[in-house]
Amino acid sequence: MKSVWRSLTSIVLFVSAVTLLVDFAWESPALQSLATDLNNWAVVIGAFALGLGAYSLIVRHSRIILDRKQMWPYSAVLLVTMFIFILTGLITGSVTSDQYNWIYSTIIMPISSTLYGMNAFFIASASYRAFKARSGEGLILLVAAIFLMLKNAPIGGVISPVLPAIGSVIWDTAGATGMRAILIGIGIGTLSLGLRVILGQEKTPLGGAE
Amino acid sequence: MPINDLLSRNYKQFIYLGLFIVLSIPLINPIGLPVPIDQTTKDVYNKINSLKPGDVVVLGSNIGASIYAEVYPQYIAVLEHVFRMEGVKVLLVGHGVEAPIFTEKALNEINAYERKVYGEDFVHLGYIAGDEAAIAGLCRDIHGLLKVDYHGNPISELPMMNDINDANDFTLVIDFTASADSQFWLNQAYAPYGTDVAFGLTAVKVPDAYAYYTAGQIFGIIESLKGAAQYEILINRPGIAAKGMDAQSLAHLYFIGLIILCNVRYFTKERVRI
Repeated sequence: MKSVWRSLTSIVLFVSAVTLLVDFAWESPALQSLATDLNNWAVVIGAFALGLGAYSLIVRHSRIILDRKQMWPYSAVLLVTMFIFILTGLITGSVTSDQYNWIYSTIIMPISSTLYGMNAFFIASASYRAFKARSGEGLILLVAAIFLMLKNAPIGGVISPVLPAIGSVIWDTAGATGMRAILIGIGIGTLSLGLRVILGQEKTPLGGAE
Repeated sequence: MPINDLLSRNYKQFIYLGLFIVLSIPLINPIGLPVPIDQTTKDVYNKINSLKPGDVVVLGSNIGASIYAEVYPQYIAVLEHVFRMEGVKVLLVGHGVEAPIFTEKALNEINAYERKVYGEDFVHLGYIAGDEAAIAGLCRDIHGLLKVDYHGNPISELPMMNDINDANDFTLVIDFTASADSQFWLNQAYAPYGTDVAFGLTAVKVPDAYAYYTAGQIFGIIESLKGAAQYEILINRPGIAAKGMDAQSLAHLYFIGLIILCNVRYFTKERVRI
């Protein structure tokens, strides 16, 4: 039964992928309509995935609370916050309501922004602890980082116009070239993975490998 | 006690205190360092300036609280600029669950609802789940994908949407994000339809976008807080980003100072010990 199900899903996957690929390369109103429908189904499934995610979160954290596992109060905070948001949305009938926005802008936003802002302090600490020129490569990285920092902040140009110019050369040559090589590598990897999925060689999307 | 010993014992506290002071001074008393304009920012500005009445600008957003400080100032500066362009239609789309909150906040901040007519000059579609499939759906057939906008109005009843069906009707797309949805716009709007695409990004996301910029596949990038400050200056509306540039400059200098100090210590003490 399991193999029949696998074969069926493989066929559906193959037909869907080939339809979208052919539609990309060849203009046909009938094919375009079918491809658009397939794409819209993917969007609907994506919306359902949000609900599934919420369900899974509730089940997992409820278990943690019931079993009194380590740090269970955090799970309680998560669930309480989640239900406050859901109830506020349901009672006010909208996520655009003042009450909903008030919770978001007075609790969620300051907490998230603070956590993100604390990165600056960690970077400062890391600059002092970790950024040592232990090798030739380390020295190159360190010098490049200094020039790029001076390129990205107005103070670099104020000290000397040469500093951001050097930073720009590093950015345009080493940075962009290296990144392009990585992106091309990612592209080739994605292409080969896509082909494996379409041809049924990759079992993960169908429920895991044997 | 020698400063070296002091630093090795309580270095974290001193470093944090130093950064706090470095960030606070320019925010309390701005220095007013000149902000040079990057070509990547200028390209976005010039493209928007060249828009004609009837053109459609799509502003995608995945702004959340965590990237608010870096990306929101870019978003509001570009939104203001687009709203100044006579007759240009604006379509606002969210790619993250938090995005619509910030879109509405930005619209209220620039008094959009008083300045232009909702449904005729601009439409907020809200968050659409599905990542790349959602963007592909928008590019293929908006009316097939969505029935109502963020406020629950039927899209078919919004006059602006009568002429907008797919990516062929988009003049340009600018996506504000720290995630992969910028790439999705390239895949789904630029590659099949040739729609002009640009990005507003956090600093860590800029290097991969820059490869597309130099290849001519995107027409511009607004790079983190720096790009936002540049854009604010270009549209002559200095805001929070322009104010933050002095603090960012001093923080960068502080980091460089720490790196130098770290290496001086390494070469004078630790390395000798090894």
